[in-house]
Amino acid sequence: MLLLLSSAWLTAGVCVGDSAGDAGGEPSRATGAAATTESRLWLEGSLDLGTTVGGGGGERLNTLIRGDSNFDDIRLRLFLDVEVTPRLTLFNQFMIDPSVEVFPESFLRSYARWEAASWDGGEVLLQAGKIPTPFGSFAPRAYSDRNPLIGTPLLYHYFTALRANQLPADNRDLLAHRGEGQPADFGGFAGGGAERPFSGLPLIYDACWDVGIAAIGSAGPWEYQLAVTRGTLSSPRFRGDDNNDGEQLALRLAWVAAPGLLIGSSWARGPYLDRAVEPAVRARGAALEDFEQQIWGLDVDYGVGHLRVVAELAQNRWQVPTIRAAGGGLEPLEVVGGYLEARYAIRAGLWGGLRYDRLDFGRIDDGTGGGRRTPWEADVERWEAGVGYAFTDRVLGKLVWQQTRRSAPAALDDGFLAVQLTSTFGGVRP
Amino acid sequence: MRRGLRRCPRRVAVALVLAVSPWPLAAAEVAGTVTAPSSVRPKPPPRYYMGPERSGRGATGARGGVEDVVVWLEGVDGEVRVEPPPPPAVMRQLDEAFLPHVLPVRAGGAVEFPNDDDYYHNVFSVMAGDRFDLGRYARGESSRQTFTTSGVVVVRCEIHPGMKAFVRVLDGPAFTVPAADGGFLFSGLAAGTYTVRAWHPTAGERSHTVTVAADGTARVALDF
Repeated sequence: MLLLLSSAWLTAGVCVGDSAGDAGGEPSRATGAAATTESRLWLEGSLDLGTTVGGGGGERLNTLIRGDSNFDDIRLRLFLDVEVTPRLTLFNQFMIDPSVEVFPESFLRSYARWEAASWDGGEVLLQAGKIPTPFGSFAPRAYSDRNPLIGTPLLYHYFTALRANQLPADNRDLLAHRGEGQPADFGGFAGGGAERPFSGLPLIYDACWDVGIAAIGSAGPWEYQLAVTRGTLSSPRFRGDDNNDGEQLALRLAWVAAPGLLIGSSWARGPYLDRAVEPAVRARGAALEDFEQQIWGLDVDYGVGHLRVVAELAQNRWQVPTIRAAGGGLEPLEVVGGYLEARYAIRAGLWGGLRYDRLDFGRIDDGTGGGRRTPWEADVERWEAGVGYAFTDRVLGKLVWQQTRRSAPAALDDGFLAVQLTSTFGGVRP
Repeated sequence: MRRGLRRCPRRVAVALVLAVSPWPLAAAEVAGTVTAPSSVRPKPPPRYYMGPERSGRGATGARGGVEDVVVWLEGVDGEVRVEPPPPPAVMRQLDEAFLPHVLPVRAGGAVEFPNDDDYYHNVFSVMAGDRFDLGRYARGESSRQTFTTSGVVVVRCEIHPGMKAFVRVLDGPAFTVPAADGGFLFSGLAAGTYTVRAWHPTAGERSHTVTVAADGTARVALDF
């Protein structure tokens, strides 16, 4: 929170005396500053208007903790970027979604980037604040004007039944609540913790960034990132407070193997349990920090001609104090998830997009004493396909079909049609 | 020639031009200067760090000044001599930027887009009238696009959102980018009335109408 406030104050200070960007979208200049050190400011935004047709529950699986979704009728994003000096830039984002009345702070993203060093072919940049998700390759495409479709891959938002602030009493308790990860589906575990309804844990929750620091940059064909955050990828601390005494460490290394081909690998590990379950954990002679989320992933981004293909694969495991193997030892909850996304430019401004993604859940002992093993959550797969058209440089339209299938015991097979119109305004950057 | 225009007094430069001109010495001319906004530093890196081939650390050249101005003369049908001569119809992709940032081209003419970076680029436009998408291509490769409709065409790279440039498509033959000091000269003209226009991607358009007699010189100052 301190970092957020600092960034906001710095921004406010720089903005004094500034005017908004001119009609042409070029940056405005802070008055009274020397020519070589003057601050520059960009105010930009995007407006999404959309609607959906059909659907009998599948659409709801796109809903986030706050109650908003990429498929909402109206979403407004505002960006305020301030170049304090040529080496220091403050990035601020805020989203307004009329359908949401809670967690307004989760819509604020604010961080600073400082160029610590640069040389021919590389650089070291330091970021601090509420920083972009330090994992994988989807995050830059999370904005509607960069996303070839409308939805977000399951890997980055789908809620499992596991919770950070409430423990299942045992394996059977967890299995009884499969498919109830959405906030409105909350059933309530019996293992202790918060009583209020809340969502389950996604593998990665890109909708709310975490607070922390990161060193990012490149050296030749290599791209790297090292981040330390207060929360974890599945439970980011968007308010800046901490829910346990541990930090998450995240690493990423990517390689430009050939022109147009980027191969990356990410890894993150950190304690995810909330203090709400601390009494239950201590009663078992353990500490919150003994139980971690660990995730590693592989991503590939390839483009040639009019085609771009992006794929990600991630293997995730959560350690849970109350989930045990038949022999009595702790057994982690494992998930393998990934997606394959393609975008093809059919003609100027017209593209087709396709994404297939799925989550496959590992098996645990079913707790009946028979030694049977069963998936701890219902597997999910999703197709999303559609077309997009750039009416102008600033106005995009998309028409997509999203079909989601979920296996028993929370079986679902549902699809819906969605249309979205995106308009960007303000500065010249995306 | 741009250096020459900067160093020499305007009259000397004009005299030199006329001395080597294939057109009749009695031809009229329109000489002028453009005062443009100051050049600006490149924009900061993108909000998301985009990796070694998409870092945003390119685009190091200043722009937004007189180098981004296109000046042209309306009402010219035949041959005309222009100083400085119009830049070649080539827009390079270098250091994650289009160079030049603004390029004039006559309607019906083609522009080459060579990729001089070590990584892929794409060139596209979704402007009405001149929509095109040249796809992604590697270093050493080039694509060509013909522009048919007069007006402003915004050119972008789909891979690098920060890359943006302008092709100013013009109907007539009399156009150029001013010299570094803002000077320009249209010569070999017939006596008559002409409108001089100048355009800048963010400052807009300025114009001035002049009447020039045979053997005469009309002087124009366009201030952004």
